[in-house]
Amino acid sequence: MKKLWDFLGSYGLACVLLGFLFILTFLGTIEQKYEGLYEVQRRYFESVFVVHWLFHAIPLPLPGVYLVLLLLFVNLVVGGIIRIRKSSATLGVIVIHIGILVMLAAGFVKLKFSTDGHLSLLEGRYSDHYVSYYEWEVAIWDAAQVQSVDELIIPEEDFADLEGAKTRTFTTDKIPGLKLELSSFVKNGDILPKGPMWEATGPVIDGFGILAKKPEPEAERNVAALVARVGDKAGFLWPFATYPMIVDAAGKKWAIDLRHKIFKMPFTVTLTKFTHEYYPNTDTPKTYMSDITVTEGASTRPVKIKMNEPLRDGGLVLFQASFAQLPNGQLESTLAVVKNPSDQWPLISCIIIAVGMLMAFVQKLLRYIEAQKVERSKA
Amino acid sequence: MMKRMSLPGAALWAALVALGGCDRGANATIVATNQASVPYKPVKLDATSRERFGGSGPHGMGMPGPTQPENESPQQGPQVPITWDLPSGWQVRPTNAPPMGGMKILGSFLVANNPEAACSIVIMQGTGGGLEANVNRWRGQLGATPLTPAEIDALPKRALLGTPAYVVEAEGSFGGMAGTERKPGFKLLGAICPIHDLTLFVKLTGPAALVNAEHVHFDQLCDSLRLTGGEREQGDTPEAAKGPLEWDAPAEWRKLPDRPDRVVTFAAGTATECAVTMFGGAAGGVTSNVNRWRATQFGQPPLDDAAIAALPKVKVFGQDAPLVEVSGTYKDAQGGVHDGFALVATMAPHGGSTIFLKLTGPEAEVRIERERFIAFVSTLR
Repeated sequence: MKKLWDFLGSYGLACVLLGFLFILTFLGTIEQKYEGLYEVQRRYFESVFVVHWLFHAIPLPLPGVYLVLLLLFVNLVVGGIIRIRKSSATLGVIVIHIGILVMLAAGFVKLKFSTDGHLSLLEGRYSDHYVSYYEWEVAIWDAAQVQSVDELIIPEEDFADLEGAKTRTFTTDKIPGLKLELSSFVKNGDILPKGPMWEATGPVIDGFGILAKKPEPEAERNVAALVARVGDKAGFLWPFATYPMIVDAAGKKWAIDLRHKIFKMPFTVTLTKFTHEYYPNTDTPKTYMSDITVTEGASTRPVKIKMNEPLRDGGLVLFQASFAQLPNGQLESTLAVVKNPSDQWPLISCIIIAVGMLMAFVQKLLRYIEAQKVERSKA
Repeated sequence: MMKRMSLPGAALWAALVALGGCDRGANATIVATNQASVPYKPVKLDATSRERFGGSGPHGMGMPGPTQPENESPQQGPQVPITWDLPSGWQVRPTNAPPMGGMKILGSFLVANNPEAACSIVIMQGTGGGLEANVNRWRGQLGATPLTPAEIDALPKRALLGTPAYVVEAEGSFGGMAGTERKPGFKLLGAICPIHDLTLFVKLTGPAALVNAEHVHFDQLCDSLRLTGGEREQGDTPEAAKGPLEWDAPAEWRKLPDRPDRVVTFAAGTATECAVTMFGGAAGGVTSNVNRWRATQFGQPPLDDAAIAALPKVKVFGQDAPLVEVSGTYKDAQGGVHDGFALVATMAPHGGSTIFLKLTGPEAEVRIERERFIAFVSTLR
């Protein structure tokens, strides 16, 4: 046990882990060119293990950054907090270690608990939700409801593994008798009339099939597809179907649809006005700005969101991300929305590290001055 | 002999396996809920697969499909003001990217049920990098050599939304936009058209034989493009296409070289320009255009409908048309900023199109040219 304890708190482990971090960051950055940012983040930085293909031919198994940072956290706690000699001389170093731990914790909390998406609005339009760039969900609602619609949600993690013939049956006590079977999930696909030019993934239903496509490097361009079956009725779920699939259960008609995951906001955003400027004689945007109204309950307040001047409210951060001008002159503003409980932790971490370094350097300086004084007195 | 794993080692291994996730069973319970103010999508209880997924369907090839991509959530509403008629044998493909940097994909199509062929309609803010850069970017995707500005000027033209567009054709091995594996024997057929402060791109790519065979459908798609909100019915030809406009220009003005996005351009004084443009349909209507001139180009507060109705009138094609006059700091379509400028402009419907007449320049010159401009717009016929 002591050996494990020594190993976990050792300088050697810290050096090896930092070495792996360097290698993984380098390889991940290179691989991003081929696989895109989202896929590389998932494979290299959010995984326990990763297999990197050297020259696209030789498999090289490596620990993922998630595992490396987890071990680094343990290494810092054991070596830099618990086992370190506690004295006034090491206080600054301990504070620096605490700052680094806060930084690592911020990354962990962001990975596990943050959400992000976008909100695109024309002037005069409003929304109380934002839409994920990457994540999907299946929504089920009473087809007769026209307002205050109660939806049942199946998150992507519950069907993302249902590739090919693998199926999973979903039930709920809110709709007695409903047995929804999902299968044939593809990350990126079209639903097309089945023709001789291509092979469908999964069954051909009513003359249509899923044309699976290679996932796009820009993951937000992917369009997922699924096969759903309730009793004898089978159909495709596809985000851009004009109408949802309709099934019968518990004496009612139910609508089922696949869509990008929707996140509710604690307030409603109305785009009042969007303005943008370009650098002279270029198409390079100089600044964009959205004048919005934030409505929360009975209160309403105007807010300006500019590049690098986001709105922070209700645990959300709304950034000005992009825009489009339509040929009729209407402007569409796209706000990136991030919910990250550890949003401010990196700042706190940097302050702690700065304080720790100041303490360590000042102590060092004072000791040096003291030593010089002694030297001078001897002379 | 196999060595037994120590307890800490086993614990570490178990933790790592747990971190790696676990398999899910064949059954699951739905637990998550959400409340929406309105249904996520409109419901049609007896919708067929063809109605749900668009396209011409397996039993009715050639039936018209949707004329507009269904790529917006109902809460935000359909937001694309250009529409078109889907050529026979083509199907709408989803476009899933939010607008990026002033670019928006208006439509994307599967051509002749061949996954290797694709057609798209894209609109970009400003010049989209410029005509030369875009023509040669497209040619570069096929491995073709870049064209010189003179060669680009000599490219064939065709009409898009009533405005001349440059037609680009290139053959070679297609590498797409993301540096993906190149496919030999491909062809690109495209049209690029500057419209106001925007640039419209229509592009068809695929195996060369298929693109050649679909050339006629590409032309049909281009011909069918029109702005929504206009009164023009499908198949109605803009007046401009039936015959050229005529006018009597002031003797003091000189005609400038033709531009693909203009009906005609004149120079007046030392730095004043009179531009005449024409667009299909209502082109966004009077209010949005008056306020685009005032707010976007001059940073002046927009006018409401009552204020626009109260603007002085001039005669264009024998009808009353609002005369917009504004002065201050002018921002041109390329982002150039000009202090002390003024604009006198008007717009009027003409057949199935809308004509825009705009005099822009230094305020002192525009004041001198104003009466000539008003006389000029009344001579259009």
